[in-house]
Amino acid sequence: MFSKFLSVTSSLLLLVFLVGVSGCGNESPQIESKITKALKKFDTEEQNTAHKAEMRKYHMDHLKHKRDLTMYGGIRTAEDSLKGCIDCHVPAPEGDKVVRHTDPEHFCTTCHAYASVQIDCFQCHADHPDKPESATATANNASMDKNLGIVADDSTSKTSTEVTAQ
Amino acid sequence: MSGKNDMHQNTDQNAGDGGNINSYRRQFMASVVGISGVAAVATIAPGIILQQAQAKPADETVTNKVRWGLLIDINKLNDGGDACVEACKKEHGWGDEKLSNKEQDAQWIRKVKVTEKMTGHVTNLPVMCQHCDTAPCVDVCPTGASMKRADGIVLVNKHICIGCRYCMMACPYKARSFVHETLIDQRPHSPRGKGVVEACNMCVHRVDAGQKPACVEAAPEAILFGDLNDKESDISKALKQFGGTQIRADLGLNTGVRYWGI
Repeated sequence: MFSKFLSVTSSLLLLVFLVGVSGCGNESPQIESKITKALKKFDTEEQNTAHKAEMRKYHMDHLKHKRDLTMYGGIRTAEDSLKGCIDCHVPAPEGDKVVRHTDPEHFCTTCHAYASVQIDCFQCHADHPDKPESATATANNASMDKNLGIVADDSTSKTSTEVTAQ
Repeated sequence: MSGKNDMHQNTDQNAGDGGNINSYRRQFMASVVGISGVAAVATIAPGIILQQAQAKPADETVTNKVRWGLLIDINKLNDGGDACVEACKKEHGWGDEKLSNKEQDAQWIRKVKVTEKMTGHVTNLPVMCQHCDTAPCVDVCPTGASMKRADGIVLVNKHICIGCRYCMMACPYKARSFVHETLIDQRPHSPRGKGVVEACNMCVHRVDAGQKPACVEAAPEAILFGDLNDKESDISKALKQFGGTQIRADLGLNTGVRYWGI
């Protein structure tokens, strides 16, 4: 009796697994094309690849580590700053067009929706940069970016708000 | 004498730059100060030294060598603090909660009207978190979310706040409020959200960047911001000469916010 139960359960599990895998296979190339392009560019391709590899796997660790440094120590450097991530990966509001984390084209949401992982950050943190006129300390950010080897690239910034058709 | 002490402090800072203190360098610097110390005292104005002491490098942790404080002269606040309240709202993006009622509204800073019963004399003063040395809100917090930073700024670590509102009960100044509704479009430097307690944080993001709090910039003639531990700072000098009133001084909380004119 028990063995019959086991076999039924295992076959069901296998079925669910197969469906899941086939879903992944179809989805993942599309996800890549849906992700909004970053505003700034790294100096070299190596830096870009290293940044992607590190952040894809460990962005949450970086953010959590920095959050305590900022909260208790008042350290507000550009490195691992959530505000820094948002400033580069989410376009600033243009007129009425504001990209929020509830929109599918939001940088964070694209993957989080696919992986079905809830983001709690944006219940409190701003999910998009300030409007250009109300933004302060922009010059400050630019000087900090230099230290990280990030430079603003005008040719990409114009197209950064565009999202590939889904 | 005070100038000479300042020179010694500068020497220590220079020696610590590289991490390891080079003994040769230390001896050299000591000899330089020894020779030119008297001349330097005469040439360096106290104001310049004060400026140097207040700047914190962005990647350095805050220390208890400084304690930030405010001194509010309410006789010089012609509007009773309205400009301060507006500046705070703009800086931190509170005050337009659509669904909250009057009792639930956020109040990081508010104008309080005090009327003396006998004379009928009316005083208006802005009241916010008083940044107590021995803060009751920090004492009662069950998770450690209500905290005092090393430099004396009392604030809420919203990452670990569970929204129990015990700190709101404990605060004698009614300085804290609770967010009752889902918020969007927060200011990037001032995260706020539903389900956690919030209060004045002395514009901690501005202080870390070497700037003054928003309310101080809105009423520069009436509010002094500075380091209470630094005897040479403007706020310490003013407090030493004329004193300053704490609200509910009887509680012995040693507040970081002091008033003139109440």
